[in-house]
Parts: sequence; C-alpha cells; structure tokens
Amino acid sequence: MFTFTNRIQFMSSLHWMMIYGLYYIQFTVYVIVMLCQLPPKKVRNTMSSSNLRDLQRELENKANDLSKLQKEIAKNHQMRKKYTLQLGENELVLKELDLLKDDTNVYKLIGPVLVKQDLAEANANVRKRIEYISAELKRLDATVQDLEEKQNSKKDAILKLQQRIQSLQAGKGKA
Amino acid sequence: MQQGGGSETEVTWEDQQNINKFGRLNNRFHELEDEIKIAKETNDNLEDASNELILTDEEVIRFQIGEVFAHVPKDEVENRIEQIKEVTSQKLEKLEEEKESVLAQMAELKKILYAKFNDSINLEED
Repeated sequence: MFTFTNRIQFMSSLHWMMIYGLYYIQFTVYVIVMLCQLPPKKVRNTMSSSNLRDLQRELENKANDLSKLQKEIAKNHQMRKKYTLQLGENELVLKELDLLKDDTNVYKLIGPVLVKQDLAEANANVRKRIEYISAELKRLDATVQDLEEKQNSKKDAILKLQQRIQSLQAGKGKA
Repeated sequence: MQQGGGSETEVTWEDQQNINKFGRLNNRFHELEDEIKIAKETNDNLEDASNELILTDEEVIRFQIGEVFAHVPKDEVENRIEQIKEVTSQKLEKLEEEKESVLAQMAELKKILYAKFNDSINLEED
C-alpha cells in the first residue's frame, strides 16, 4: 500500500512519464516526417552520382582552360626568346656602327640586293628597332606574368575541385 | 578521336580512311600556310629591292648569287629581279590554289564525318 506522499510521488512521476511520452511520440513523428521528406537511398545515390558527373565535367573544362593557358604561355615564351635574340643582334650591330667613321660605306641587304645606305640613317634605324624590340619584350613580360597568375588561380581551382570529387567519392564508398 | 557523351558508333574501315585523309590534308594545309607566308615575304622583299634600285645612283650593284655577292650592272639586276618576281608570283598563285582545294576537301570530309559521328569526333583545331 502507498502512503499519501508516496502516492503523490507516484502520480507526479506518472504525469512526467506521460508528458515525456508525448514528447517522445512527437519527436518520433517529426523524425519520421523528416525521413519521409528525404529521397529514397537509391535516389540519393543517383543525386550524388549526378553531382559527381557535373563536378567531373567542370574539372574537365577547367583542365582544358588550363592547357590552353599553358599553350599561350609557351607561345609567349617562344616569342620572348625570338625578340631577345633579335635585341642582342641589333645591339651588336649598333656597337659596330658606333666604331665606324662618318665616311664609311654602309650597305643594307634588301632581297638579293646590297643597297648603299647613309651611316646616320642606318644608326637611327637600328636604334628605333632596339626601342621597338625592348617595348615588345616589356609587353610580353607583362602578358606572361598575367597568364601565369591566371594559370596559378586555375590550378588552385582544379585542386579544390579534385578534393571535392574525392570527398564525394569517399562518401559514396561509405554508403 | 574525342569521345563524346553520345552512343558508341562503329568505326568502319572507310571511316578510318576518311579520318586519316583528313589528318593528311590538315598537315598539308599547315605546310601550305607556311610556304605561302615565305613566298609573300620573298615577293615583298623583291618589290622593296626594285624600288631601292630606282632610287640608287650606282651603276654597278652588289647582287646575291647563292652565298656570294657579285658586281652586276644595274639593268641586268632589274631584269633578274623582275624574273624572280614573276616566278615567285606564279608559285604563290599555285600555292593559293592548292590551299583552296585542300580546304574544300577538308570541308567535304568534315561534313561526312560529323554526319556519322556527331559530337563523338572533334575535327576542330584549338
């Protein structure tokens, strides 16, 4: 038999159990509803695989862009090499012209013909050419620098994408 | 051949021959472009040389024959340059004609190959 106090305690504990029970039922229902809103496992797998496909396509596009950039950089390096050689040659010519006396005969090769040219004119032409080549080299340097920055950012983006793909694949493997 | 997202298409012997032919034509096209560029530069140089000859006062010109320069009378140099220009122009014309022919053949092959393979083949250059 319960004493009065025991009975009150029992009733109150019963009351709390009922309240907790209701909460538990509510929580269970909520969880079930949430689970029902989730797509079935098969659908979820196909979603992740389509995500993966999209990411791989994106990765492919980025890789193509990167290879284009690398080709562009290689082309620019080739041009730079050519201009550097030309600059060296022209500076050598200028040095030689500076050693000559004013009355020296200077010839310029045009097609298969050697044509006599004024020393001052030859000097001016070579100087102009050196200026032009130097300007081109500066421009090429700036272009190469810009392209290399773009290349680095592309590489970073590709690296991040690869990591995302790997994590997705790892998740898929666990599932 | 680039693999597209499309379905697998069987590549016959004839298709392979067409693809190979397209490759050869494409190589020839690039060779022709280089040759045309050189021929045009030669023509321009000859034009410049004949203009310089008009302006010069010298009666004897240093003319390049092979690896050496020979003293040749101005009139003879002018005649020689005109002859070389004529030959170069004819060569340039032939090269341009061949280039047009190659491009036409490539376009025809492109039509055939794209009709069969759609996006499973890539015949465009980067």
